[in-house]
Amino acid sequence: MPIRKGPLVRTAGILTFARAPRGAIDGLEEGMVAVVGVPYETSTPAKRGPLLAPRAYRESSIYYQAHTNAGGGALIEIDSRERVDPKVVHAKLRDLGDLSVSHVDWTETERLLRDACRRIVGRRAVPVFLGGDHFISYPLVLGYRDAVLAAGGRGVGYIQLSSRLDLGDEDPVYGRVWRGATVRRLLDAGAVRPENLVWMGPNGYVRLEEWELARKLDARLFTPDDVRRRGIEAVAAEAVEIAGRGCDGIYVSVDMDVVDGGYVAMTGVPQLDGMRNDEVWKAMDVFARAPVGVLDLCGLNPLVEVMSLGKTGQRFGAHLVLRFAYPKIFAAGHSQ
Amino acid sequence: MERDESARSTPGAATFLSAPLVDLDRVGPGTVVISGAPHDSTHTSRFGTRMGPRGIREGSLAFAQKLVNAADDGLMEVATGARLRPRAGARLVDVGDFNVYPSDVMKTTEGIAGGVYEVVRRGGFSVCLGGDHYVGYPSCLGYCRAVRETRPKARIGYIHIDGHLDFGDEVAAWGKYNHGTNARRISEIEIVSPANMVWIGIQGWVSEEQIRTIERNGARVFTALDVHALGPAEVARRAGERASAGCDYIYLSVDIDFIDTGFFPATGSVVNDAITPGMLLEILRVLSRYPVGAMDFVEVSPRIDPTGRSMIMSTELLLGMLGPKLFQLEP
Repeated sequence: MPIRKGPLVRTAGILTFARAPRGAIDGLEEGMVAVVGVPYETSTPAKRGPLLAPRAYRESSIYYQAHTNAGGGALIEIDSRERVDPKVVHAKLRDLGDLSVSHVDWTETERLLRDACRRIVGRRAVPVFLGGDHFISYPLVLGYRDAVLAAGGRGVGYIQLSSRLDLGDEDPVYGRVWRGATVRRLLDAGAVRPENLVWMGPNGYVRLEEWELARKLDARLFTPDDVRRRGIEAVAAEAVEIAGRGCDGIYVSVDMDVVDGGYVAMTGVPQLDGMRNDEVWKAMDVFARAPVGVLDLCGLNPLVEVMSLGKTGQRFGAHLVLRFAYPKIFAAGHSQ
Repeated sequence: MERDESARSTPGAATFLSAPLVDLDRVGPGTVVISGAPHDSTHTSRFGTRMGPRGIREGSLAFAQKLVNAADDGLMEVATGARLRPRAGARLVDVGDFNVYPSDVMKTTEGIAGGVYEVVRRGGFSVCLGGDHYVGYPSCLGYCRAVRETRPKARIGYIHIDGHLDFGDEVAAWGKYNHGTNARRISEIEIVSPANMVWIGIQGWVSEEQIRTIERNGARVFTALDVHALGPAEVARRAGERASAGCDYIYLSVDIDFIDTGFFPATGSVVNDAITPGMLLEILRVLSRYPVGAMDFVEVSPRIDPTGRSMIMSTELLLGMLGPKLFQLEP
């Protein structure tokens, strides 16, 4: 029995994402969106903190509690005028809590993440993983591919929004398991074909070895300049077309450092020439209506801002999750 | 004892732009009157805007120093090359903070409304510094009461610059009087014309009931994306025309969370809409050409911005509206 009735003030209550009901993988059904925390950061060399990001996203997501209040009135997205019925969101959005990652045993963490993604997608639900450092994408993509292949699909494409290529190979300290090698490991494992790989947002300087590999692979790369010149809608649509060609699902990974450091300071390496925050949420509008079956948000570091006061990244992340979730939740069907 | 004017950015009472601190009965016609409403018990998430008036006043001292140093030559407006000189007869005063009662919202309402009423009935241009955005309602209420006293048939338009509509009838657990209902309460003031209400900067998801009611009233909403697409000056021009059509005056309410939090961190509600402080400045400059009769400037929460830049920027933003009243531009 609940200890109180009636609406909660934002500062009260146990944190779930936007106050969505808690859920478990076995309770997921087709058309549901499942938020899962991945508090893992072992491969973050510079500034510790991404470990705390899932909690930070949930804290800021409480701003959107009206979206899951089944007894409350409907919402309207002010520009698109799309309607959000909180009864439907309450029925279809679930917070599965955090995965119990190991920080001392990568093999165990990899198995856990891969298995979780495979099982959620296998139930025809759409997972949104809240990282965590960027290496979590590696086992999650493997798990997504497992599920797609098990259902008779042809494989998955991968779109990465990040300031970096993450094509590094072996780091002198971290070895082969680290956030700068995420895409390299995906290619090594054959999880994604190079022709279905798209980067959006790399800027500044990248290591020559990574640059040459990207060119050799003929993989498609859109810089912030490309986005400014062509418009984010066109770039995102082309990214979807490339990543989805010959595949039966697309995985989208957002490293928060894709956004300019002026808008989102809460990353390990705030960027000087990143994308604008509204460009990233417009990209999310495109991905949400495409056959994107998994989303992750990585690289948020709540400790970077002084006393975590600005919260510029965590509210933004919560906003991105909902923009991604609603076309999935309100569509008649969804892609695997 | 004479004050050493050259050193007034640090010592002494921190009034807005080091303006004279005066009692309400010293307010005269045409005076720009700064007041504070250090109230945040109707904020629904991160408290702290009760420190807003003090923070803005302290932030303003950096610009006050600039004004003092430029007293002989005036200041140049870089964008236009025009020289800014004090306007003859212009007067800026600070009346300090109105009475607020953290545990009694209706008493607070009357404390702020009563103070603004006294300013306006003496002919002052009231600038009330919040506080959370609830302050906008009592500030507008006091303004309307004073206007109605001298012009019973006057109609008031309203411009609401904000990331949010603040048009809830009730907010869960907070009731009818808080920083999510202020615009709704203003729409119910008798001399305010609901069809002449304009919002600028709304982003994300809003209540369906609120937007439908606004549209039924015939009011207009410009989103943050509209500001990007049309440009801040054009949005401000359209808003000014709309709010003043058939109305005698406009009441202006500025919630600084209109600006992207990346640029202006000192506020409780985080907004990600790529709106810059420069865009707000441009909007306020355009609106200064319309018959704005009083305003509030709210939701500045100084402790959330340890760098202090938000409070320093607040002064220049306010000068977007107040500048033409205090200075004249000479080519």
